[in-house]
Amino acid sequence: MKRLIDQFVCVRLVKANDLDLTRFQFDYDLTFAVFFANADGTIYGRYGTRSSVKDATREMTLAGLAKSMAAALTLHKRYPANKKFLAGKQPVEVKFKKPSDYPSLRGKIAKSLNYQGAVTKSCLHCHQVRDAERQIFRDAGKPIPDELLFPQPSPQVIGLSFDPRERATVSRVEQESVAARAGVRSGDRLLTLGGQAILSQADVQWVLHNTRSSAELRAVMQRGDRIVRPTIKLSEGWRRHSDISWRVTSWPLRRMVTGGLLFTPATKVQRHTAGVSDDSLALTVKHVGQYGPHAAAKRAGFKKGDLIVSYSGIRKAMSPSELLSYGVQNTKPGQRVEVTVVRNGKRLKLKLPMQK
Amino acid sequence: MKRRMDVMLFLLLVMVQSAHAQNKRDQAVRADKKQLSKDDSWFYDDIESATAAAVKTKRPMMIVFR
Repeated sequence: MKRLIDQFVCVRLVKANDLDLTRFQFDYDLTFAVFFANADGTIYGRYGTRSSVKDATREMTLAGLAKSMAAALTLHKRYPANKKFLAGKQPVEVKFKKPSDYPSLRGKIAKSLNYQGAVTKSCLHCHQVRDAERQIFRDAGKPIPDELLFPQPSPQVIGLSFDPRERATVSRVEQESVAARAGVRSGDRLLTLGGQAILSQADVQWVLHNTRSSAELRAVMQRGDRIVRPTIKLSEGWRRHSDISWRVTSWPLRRMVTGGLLFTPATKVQRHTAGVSDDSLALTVKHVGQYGPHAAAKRAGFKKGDLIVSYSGIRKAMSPSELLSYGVQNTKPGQRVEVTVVRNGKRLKLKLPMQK
Repeated sequence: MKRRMDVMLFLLLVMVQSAHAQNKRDQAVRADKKQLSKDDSWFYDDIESATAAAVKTKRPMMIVFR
């Protein structure tokens, strides 16, 4: 690793206070993210992924990072002859160039960190950029668009898992998934996707992030000693299968549409006891927020252990992630949504205030 | 009166715990800065100097957000 590090100019950025959003576009929910770039700003690739609340680094390894670094060095050696090939990896145009340009952050961000005092309080966290982006829509009473609600989708959304010890080697293909239908197999090494060189799973997520609601993605993969070229067909709404419940940015969404409740899918026993079928909504309240707007559900009468069986008239099964996304795309601040809960065997109807 | 005292004690405990956690995080950030500032192979929170070094040495950049 030291030999690899010495071939880079390494810089550690610790805050988003003055983050150049025209340049650094990545998954803002991560606690560890890497860009490989030329000094002229051209991006070679990204590294860093996450899909768990508790374990932020489960899908990252030093071995995998080293392989991504080696691939970045190869791209650097061929630069600028390969500049056209790197076009898709570059940042997209954005309306807000700095975090302080967002209405909800304006005037609230310190220009530099207060190392002498409460330094973490003076730090703008990366996830607050995504929060601010979504807040614009919520404040205007508009649905948060899919692209903002399901950013940097995990490859699991198309049925792929990658080996964290490798650059981009498929470790598992979910049966009946989009990737399985395209003929992708476990052990395939992904070389390019959508015409972009893939240095890591983060690069796959960058491709998915910038892919439209319905599209065909051409992949180039190494399978043993031969090259295969599957086409991954994404149909309308594919992005909505992403799980956003692990993300730090789901915290403000919970304030908006659950009044501070945290859910977990009901167990089979809980469903059976409450008389709820497998295809019906059944989410157990795991935590009830206690303070400020996160205590709105508490004030409305919700309790830990309540089983949610209907939300704004919806009775079909939803995951915690699906309920959050349904809420922020179908309710407006100021509304009061009827929620049915099962508590001690009895059904209760409660009114949950929708918030900004 | 007793209930009010209980609430006040609870709030005080929450505040003390929160301040303690905050303090620990602040210390960790300061220690991290101190350690990385001593390491010649890393630029700490200074993208401009890192970019200038990359131009000068013709090396690629590894920009880590952490």
